[in-house]
Amino acid sequence: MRRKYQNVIVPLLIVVLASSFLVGCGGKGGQEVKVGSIAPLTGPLSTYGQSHKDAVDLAVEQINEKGGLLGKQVVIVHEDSQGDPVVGVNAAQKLIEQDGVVAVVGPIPSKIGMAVAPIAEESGVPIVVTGTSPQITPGKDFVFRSCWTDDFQGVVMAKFAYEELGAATAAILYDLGNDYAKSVSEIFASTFEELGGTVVAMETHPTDATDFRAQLTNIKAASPDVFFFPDFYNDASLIGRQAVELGLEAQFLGADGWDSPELDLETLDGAYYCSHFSKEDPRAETRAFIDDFTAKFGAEPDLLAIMGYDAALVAFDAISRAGSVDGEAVREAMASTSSLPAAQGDITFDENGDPTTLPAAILQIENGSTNYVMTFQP
Amino acid sequence: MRFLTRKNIRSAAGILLAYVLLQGLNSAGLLSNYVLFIIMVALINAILTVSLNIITGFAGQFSIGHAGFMAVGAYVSAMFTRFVLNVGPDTPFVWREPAFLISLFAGSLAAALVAYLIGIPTLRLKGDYLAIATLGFNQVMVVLFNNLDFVGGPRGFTGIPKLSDLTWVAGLTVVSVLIMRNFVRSIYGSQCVAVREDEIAAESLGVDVTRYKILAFTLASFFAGTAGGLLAHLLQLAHPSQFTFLKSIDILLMLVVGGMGSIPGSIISALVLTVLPEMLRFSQDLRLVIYPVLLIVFVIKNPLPYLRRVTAQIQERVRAMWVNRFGG
Amino acid sequence: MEQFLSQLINGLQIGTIYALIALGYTMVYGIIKLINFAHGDLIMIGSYVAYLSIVHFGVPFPVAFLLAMLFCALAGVLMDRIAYRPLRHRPRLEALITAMGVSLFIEHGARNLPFIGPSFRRFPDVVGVKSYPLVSSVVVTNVQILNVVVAVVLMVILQYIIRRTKIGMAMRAVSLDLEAAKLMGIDVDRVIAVTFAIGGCLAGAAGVLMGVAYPRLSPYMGVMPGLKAFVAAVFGGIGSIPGAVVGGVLMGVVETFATAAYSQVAEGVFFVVLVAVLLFRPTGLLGEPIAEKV
Repeated sequence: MRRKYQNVIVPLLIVVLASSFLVGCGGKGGQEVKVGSIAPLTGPLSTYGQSHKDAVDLAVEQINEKGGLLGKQVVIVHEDSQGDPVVGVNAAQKLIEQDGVVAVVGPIPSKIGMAVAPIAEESGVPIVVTGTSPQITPGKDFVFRSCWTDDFQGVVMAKFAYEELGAATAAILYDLGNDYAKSVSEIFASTFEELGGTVVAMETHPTDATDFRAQLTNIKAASPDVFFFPDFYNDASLIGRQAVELGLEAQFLGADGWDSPELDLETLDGAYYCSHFSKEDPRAETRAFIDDFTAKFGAEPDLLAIMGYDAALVAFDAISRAGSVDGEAVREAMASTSSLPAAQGDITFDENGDPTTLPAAILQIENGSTNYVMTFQP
Repeated sequence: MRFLTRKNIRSAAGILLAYVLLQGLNSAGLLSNYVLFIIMVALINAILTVSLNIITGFAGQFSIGHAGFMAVGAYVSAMFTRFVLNVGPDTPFVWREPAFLISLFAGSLAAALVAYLIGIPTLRLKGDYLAIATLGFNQVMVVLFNNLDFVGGPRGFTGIPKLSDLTWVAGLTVVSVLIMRNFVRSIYGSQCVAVREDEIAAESLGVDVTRYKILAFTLASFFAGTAGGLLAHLLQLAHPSQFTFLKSIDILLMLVVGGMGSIPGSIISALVLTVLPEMLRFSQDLRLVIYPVLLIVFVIKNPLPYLRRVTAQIQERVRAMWVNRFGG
Repeated sequence: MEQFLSQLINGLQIGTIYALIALGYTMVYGIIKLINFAHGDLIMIGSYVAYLSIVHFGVPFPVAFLLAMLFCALAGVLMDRIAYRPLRHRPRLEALITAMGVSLFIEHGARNLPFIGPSFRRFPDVVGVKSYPLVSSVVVTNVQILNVVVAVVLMVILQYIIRRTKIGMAMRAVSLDLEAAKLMGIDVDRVIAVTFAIGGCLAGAAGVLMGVAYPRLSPYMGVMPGLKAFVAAVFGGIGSIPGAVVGGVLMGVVETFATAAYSQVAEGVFFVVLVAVLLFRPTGLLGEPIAEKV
């Protein structure tokens, strides 16, 4: 008799649990315009998530001061992706279904973006990602991006190395479990060789490795002119330090993953890297963003902050031009975004939903600070 | 293994009831995608936990590489769907569903095959050494998939068609659990338990210890592969970082909380431990600390017999009330 | 040739750290047949203790080093007392799972502490890095020398304790046969506590050395080194002290050379080698074959 109950309890449990979720299904109407944001607020990339969140909050505050969107106040709902695709997908679905958001800002990093993109497509809610992996946007109508892609920055760094620095040989080291670092490295390598240079060493390391001496010794033996290691800032700092200790003499180069206040400026003195903006950029919108962010949070914005801010601007602009919160209308408006004055530059989307006119800034680390060197236009 | 026992029919009835209810809600549009997603993930976790139970709970072999087989199932089934059978969004229903079954079967078979090959040399190791070997295997799988560019490497395998829906997931969960439960209750199952209790005694009684260890291992990994395939076709993505030994430990946690050697325990524990974190979304950080404490307390204090008694008492009371109202 | 030498030095550096950690694993296993999965996290505790004392309390480096060792010794003893002692007479599987729980608890718990937090911390530059050229372009840094010297000194001290002191003899007795040792009047609980303490000390030292050599601290920094050191201990024969040293150093060297040769799959190759060794010598390189009593 007991057995019988046991076998019915299990399935009934499922139903009970399910029904407990039916409460709180959000709607799209109401007194507010809700926008969702997904970022790694906890986990190893949490500093990025925090920057993203802060910048988006700033954008929301600014637009509400100007009267909000469609005559209503904008409310932002932040969700944590923990850097895990499954959690990111859950977060996206919760935002879309339970909170009824009109658009989603984020997520980063790219692998979460890849997982969340199909959800946006299916549910008809536009998202503006801030990851750089080229594969996220093509073929999807509801997925847009607020920054340039790895295709672009790989080319930029390769050209900079070959044409500006006159390098003939290059060595590369990247994190093999990091798809961003891998794709930037591969594009750098192929562009560099197309230009006429030679890649003398291409080494990888496992994620979370702390000892790179084996690979660095190999690289040192190959005597490259430049050493490109586009990992995120914490790995890059470690790699740079060990390279210096081993006496590796080459010009150090990095990519936008280096852009963080926690980058080891002392060890990486003299290195160049590229980013989405430069703090010395005289452009009005960029300056305004930097000043506002610093005033509100007491620290300078990093690349995550500026990308998140611009993503929010794109979303707000599209909603206001669409004149409604209907998913399809917002999507159409977003797809036709043209010369939107964002913090990084003017944003115009191509048919994939990628911005075509954002420049990359090359920065150099000198004496504990980063200085602007030059800009590359796409 | 007899399938049509009274118990099986009763279980089937209860589960069918729940399924019809859920599907009804779903079709009426009352069940949000969010909730549905969580339920499906919970069911997939249930398959994983029950299968790990076969290896660790019933056969007593300490394996912390279960996620590795999940990975094999996920990637192989996705490869079949994408490359071999070319299933896409415009594939007709008539072909799509059988194709999914074929892909899942391929993935599970691959996982079982890998388990068999790995099992032969490593299942000779005992206890702690087996643990490391399985851990090593798990890591090797992660590195392998990170390096295979044609399945995406570190970008992960994307563009997998969304073929898992409630029917598939629930159906396969039921089938898997029933097969595994019948295995455990069969003569094969009792041989495995003999191995768990005392290997030397079992061997001296004529039980081919290595053969049964491998059998349990292979069977369990088959279903781990099924779970992996279902997840890949639900998420539309398979990424190496989803299948690290941390995931294996997650499954182990669900197993321990549910009670080793108890199949219903594993299922309930998987459901609860999947749904609970979602409901506690606001206290993510705390959850990460509470979980291991839960684990430690559960192992040391072993409250399960106590919990079972309480549940049994409640059931008795309910039954008594039922009998009172409506008569036997 | 000089590349070989460079890589060898690299391997020795990381290898001696692994050896220190492996020693802790092997000692605890030898005594209560438990693989303490939380041992790796003691490394993390040691690093952070040193980091916090230097950065927040301005303590000089050698003192911070000793503090880290002390704190970890305490942590080790606490681990045993709270989580492992109640399970001493239960099936080993349960103790193993509890060990995993302790490990996760320490990692996630540390992460939630505001002064440790989820972001990486940078270990301060207490030893100014200087490179000394060895042979042609091969360099050796003072950090590497410090690393190896400290590790060796600690190992020598350990050997002395084990071979020449009463408590060491008690430890050897308990690891040989716990019940018999009890019958001989040895306070087994105390001996076990001391073993955990020493293991903790060594892990703490390893943590500080790691902090100096790889100055990036995170709550999860002990996971991979702990795992590798555990594998090294098994590789060398778990329960055997010279085995742990040999296993650790070999592991460091093999890993370095494998990475230098083919960095993409080095991690995988390593585990394959491990399994291969276990198949032929199931108790590790220097381990003794265990006869099971029926």
